Amino acid sequence: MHMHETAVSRRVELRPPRPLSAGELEGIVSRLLLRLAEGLSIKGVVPGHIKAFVTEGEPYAAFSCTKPGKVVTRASNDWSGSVFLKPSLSLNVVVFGPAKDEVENLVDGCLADLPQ
Amino acid sequence: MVSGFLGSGKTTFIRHLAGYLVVQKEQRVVIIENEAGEVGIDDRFLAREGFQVREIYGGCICCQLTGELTLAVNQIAERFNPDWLIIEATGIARPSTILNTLRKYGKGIDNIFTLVIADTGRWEELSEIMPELIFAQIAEADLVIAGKIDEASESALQSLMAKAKEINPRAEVLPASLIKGIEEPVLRRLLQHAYA
Repeated sequence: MHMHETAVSRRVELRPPRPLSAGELEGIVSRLLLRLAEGLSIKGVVPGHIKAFVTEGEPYAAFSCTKPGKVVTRASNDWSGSVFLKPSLSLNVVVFGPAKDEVENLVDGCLADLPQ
Repeated sequence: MVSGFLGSGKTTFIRHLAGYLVVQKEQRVVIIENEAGEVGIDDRFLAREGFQVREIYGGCICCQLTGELTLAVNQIAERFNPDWLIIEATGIARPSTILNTLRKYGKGIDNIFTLVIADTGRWEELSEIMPELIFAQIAEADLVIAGKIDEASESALQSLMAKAKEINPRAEVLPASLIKGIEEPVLRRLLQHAYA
């Protein structure tokens, strides 16, 4: 079986009803990646990479997921003490297997549940 | 050039390697980040970490974007004349085609060293799902790093090391975790290989 890769990218500005702490924002983005990983995994792994970059001003954090249930986060030193009003979220999903519209529907469905 | 499957730990590795080269060895380092997606993520992360980064996204420098790669390499050589140019390939790239482009059209390159990071944590699954790409990447490496050993079983590590030796007997295979940095023996071996 020859599988082809599909890349889906989105950039959105989140507009939460109230300011979010770094921990709350981290939780929202991590849950997004975990949901995508659940929907895209084969044999218990993501046959690709789901990653995100979140920032508002100086603080930033990068998120990476290659297995359902596990998200790795790398953040700037000033991330944990920061508060976020309108953070920007960049998302890249590159996976082998599913068709592009399948991945787009999953990504857009998950993003629609975020406060925008 | 740093290659390896999607999510294998290439950016994490580059972050540590570039940091070491800049801070400890006082080398001029420029990074080319190539992403298959339309939105750059790794380049933004590395740039925020303080590195000089040139991004090429929206396709792969091994096939669709060879012209952009040549342009970037030659502009970097002219403007920065770096001691090290670190190229992060996309996780879907086959290193040989990038090497061909660099050898044919790259200016100011004394030596090209190809490092492949294999994901030990997903080795068994990815070897079943897409062996062709995974094995092709390893076949073209000068050095293979078996990364994410903290997420893998001993049998997965042994299986990866045996397969890598079978596919590419000339490449050394070094196990590493990478998440907390590059272990000193790995770094030492890497630099020995790169300067060879």
